Amino acid sequence: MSIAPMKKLSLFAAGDDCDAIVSGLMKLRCIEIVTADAEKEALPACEYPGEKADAEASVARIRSAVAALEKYSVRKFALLKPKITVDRDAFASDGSSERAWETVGKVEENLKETSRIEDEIRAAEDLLRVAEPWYDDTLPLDFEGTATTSFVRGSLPGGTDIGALTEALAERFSYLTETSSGGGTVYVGVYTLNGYSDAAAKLLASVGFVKAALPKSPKTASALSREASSKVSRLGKEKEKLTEELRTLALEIDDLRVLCDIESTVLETFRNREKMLSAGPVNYLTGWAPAEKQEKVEKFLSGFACAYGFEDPTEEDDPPVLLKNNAFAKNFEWVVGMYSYPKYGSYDPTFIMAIFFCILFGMMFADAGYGLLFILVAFVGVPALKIKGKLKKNITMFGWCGISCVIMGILFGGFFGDLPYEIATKMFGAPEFKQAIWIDPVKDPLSFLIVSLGVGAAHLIAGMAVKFYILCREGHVLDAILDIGLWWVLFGSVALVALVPNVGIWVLVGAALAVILTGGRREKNWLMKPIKGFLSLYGLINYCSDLLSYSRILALGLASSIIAMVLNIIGTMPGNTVAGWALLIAVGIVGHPINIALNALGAFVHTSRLQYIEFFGKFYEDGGREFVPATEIGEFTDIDDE
Amino acid sequence: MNIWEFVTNILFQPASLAVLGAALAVILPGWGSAKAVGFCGEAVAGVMSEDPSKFGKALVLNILPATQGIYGFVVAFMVMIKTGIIGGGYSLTLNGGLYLFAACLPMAVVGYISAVKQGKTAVAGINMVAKHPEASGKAVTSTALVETYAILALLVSVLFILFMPAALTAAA
Repeated sequence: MSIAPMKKLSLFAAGDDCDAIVSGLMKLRCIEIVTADAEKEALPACEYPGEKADAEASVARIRSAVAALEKYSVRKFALLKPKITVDRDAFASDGSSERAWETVGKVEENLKETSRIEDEIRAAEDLLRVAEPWYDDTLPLDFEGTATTSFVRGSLPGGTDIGALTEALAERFSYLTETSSGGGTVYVGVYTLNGYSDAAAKLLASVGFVKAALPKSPKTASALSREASSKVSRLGKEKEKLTEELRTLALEIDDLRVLCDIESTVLETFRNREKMLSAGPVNYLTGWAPAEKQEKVEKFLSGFACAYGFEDPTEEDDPPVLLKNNAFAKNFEWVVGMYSYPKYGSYDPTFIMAIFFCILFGMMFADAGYGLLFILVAFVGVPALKIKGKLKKNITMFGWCGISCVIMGILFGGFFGDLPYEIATKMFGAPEFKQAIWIDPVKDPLSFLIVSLGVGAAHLIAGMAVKFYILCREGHVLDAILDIGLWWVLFGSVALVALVPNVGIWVLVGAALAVILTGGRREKNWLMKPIKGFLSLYGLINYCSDLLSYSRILALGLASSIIAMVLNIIGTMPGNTVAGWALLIAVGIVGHPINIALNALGAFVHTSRLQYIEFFGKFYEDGGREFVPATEIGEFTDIDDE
Repeated sequence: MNIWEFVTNILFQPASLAVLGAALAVILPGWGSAKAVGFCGEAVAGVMSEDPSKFGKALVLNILPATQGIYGFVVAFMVMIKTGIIGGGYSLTLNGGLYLFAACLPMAVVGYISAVKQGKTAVAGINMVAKHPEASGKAVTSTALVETYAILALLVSVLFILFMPAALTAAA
């Protein structure tokens, strides 16, 4: 309901205490540490390059170990994985931390060994591939000829006329043997009498002979291959053993995750300490804290030899914004945040917005069945899966909207679309009946449109009321009455015209005249006053277009209920048979989730739009910055951010 | 059969006209949505190659232009009920067929254009989210502004169909 007042903390502390103070403040989670302005204060910033680099290296080592083990870990699904609950201090003192570091070392050793083995396997497999064409060659691979001849192995392109080549080589005192052929290549060995090698080489080059690149080995190709393949299978077994070891180490992955959070917190502490300025033996820290947390911070700081003060923000300051809302409305703060946080010191609209959000969402997605699913996920699933933090708020918000969907679904007749109606009439031949207890938007869209616009009018008037309140709070009561109150009279008189035309028309004329007369009151130039006054009556068109914008409630409501209806019509086509029920269930299981996904998104986006443009447009001052307190890192572990 | 006979005997029949309108209401907005969601998907893939953690925010923008296709489908479905293709029980006059054809046009035409234009806004939004993920609400809002016109077209088409004068239909 409100924006928390902030206090600015200035703190001087002995350099030795800084680590304890900053990490203590991070545990308290109620101070946003600000990067101090080194130029303004004419002091150098604190720097910890060495410590920071060490911490970064530690985090990187743990992260790569965790990433390697994740493949073998049982808990894979990140979204549903509850955070680890652990006492960090106990973890550090009872030796778990050392054991986790040992595990990191083992994983690193293992990965190094694995990659070495993989390299060796690759080399052996390369050898197998190279040696394959020479299996039938009985000569050792390093054989290069006898005392009177030279010998060379190589390949010729397939289709070479071997007979002709053999004859041509014979003229150059050479002898060709074919070893094997395959893949469009012929593998040959060529003996040449000493002194004729150049002539033979020239001829061979002209037919595309390529010398084979074989390892120099006194063994034959087949012997070498046998060795290589036995090596591959032996290395494969070793690799298997290493993988098995990783699988065992993966059982300790949660300890590594805890260690990762602890080391990341150390790194974060250094990052926060670098926001301080150094003034000789003492360091200077500035930050923002909610005023209500001042006492808590003071109590913590009293344990240290330090000087500090809390001040109210001045005009020059840019305090961060912390919204304070009840258990219901705080789930909607992120919707406000998606637009922009309100300016510090302005009005927090979350609560009113949350109420209208539920109503508008419920009307656009008026289905009791879908609403029940939302409620189930938000109020049963979230606690069961121990989902916390931002995600919990996101889902809980849809849970509250689900309650509204159930109510609207009963009013406007939606339970998985018209499922009860289709089952009763098609499966059991019941007479036609009205599923909605109030209005069925598919059968009577006009009434539903009128209800939509009525809710829209209430929403707009609520927005204007907030502006009225803000103006009064700032002491501009006259502005509030003339800029907002007169419009309400004008709106009221439109309704009055419909009820009591004789009186209403005069009230309407009077209100319009009042708007024209007062609209130009801020204008200095007397000539401009009436012109500005007439122009302000133009605001009526804006209000009309704002109001018509709420017709989207009908459109989105129809879209979701008609798609559900199509699913139900298809599902009940075969009638009351086993196949019929099977089809109904199958169509429902596939179709309804798709309908929910598409139309819940549409309802969310368009409800948000009605809030941002039609509602916020009336009063909202944006441009606030979210309060982000310095905190321990809780990527994997539970730091209880409630 | 010459062209004139084709037009009068086949095309200018009540059911043909209504079905033609319904078909256009599915084809054009569906075409536009498919196109728009397609090029949004390309943009999302580009952003994902840099930072997969923004997928959730980018996905919302990616599927925003999908709704026109759904709206077109809703209109077509209502025509099917009105013409008795589903459920039976109605028979149209020639004027009735022409009326339903015309009723489908707002959704068919505006649905196509708004889907494509909304897709372009969404692509710009996706690129913005890549740099400023915290501003995704603004990107979604400005993209949703385009949809206003598809919603108005849907409303008009639906209201035309639902409030079709009884004289244009005759009980079968």
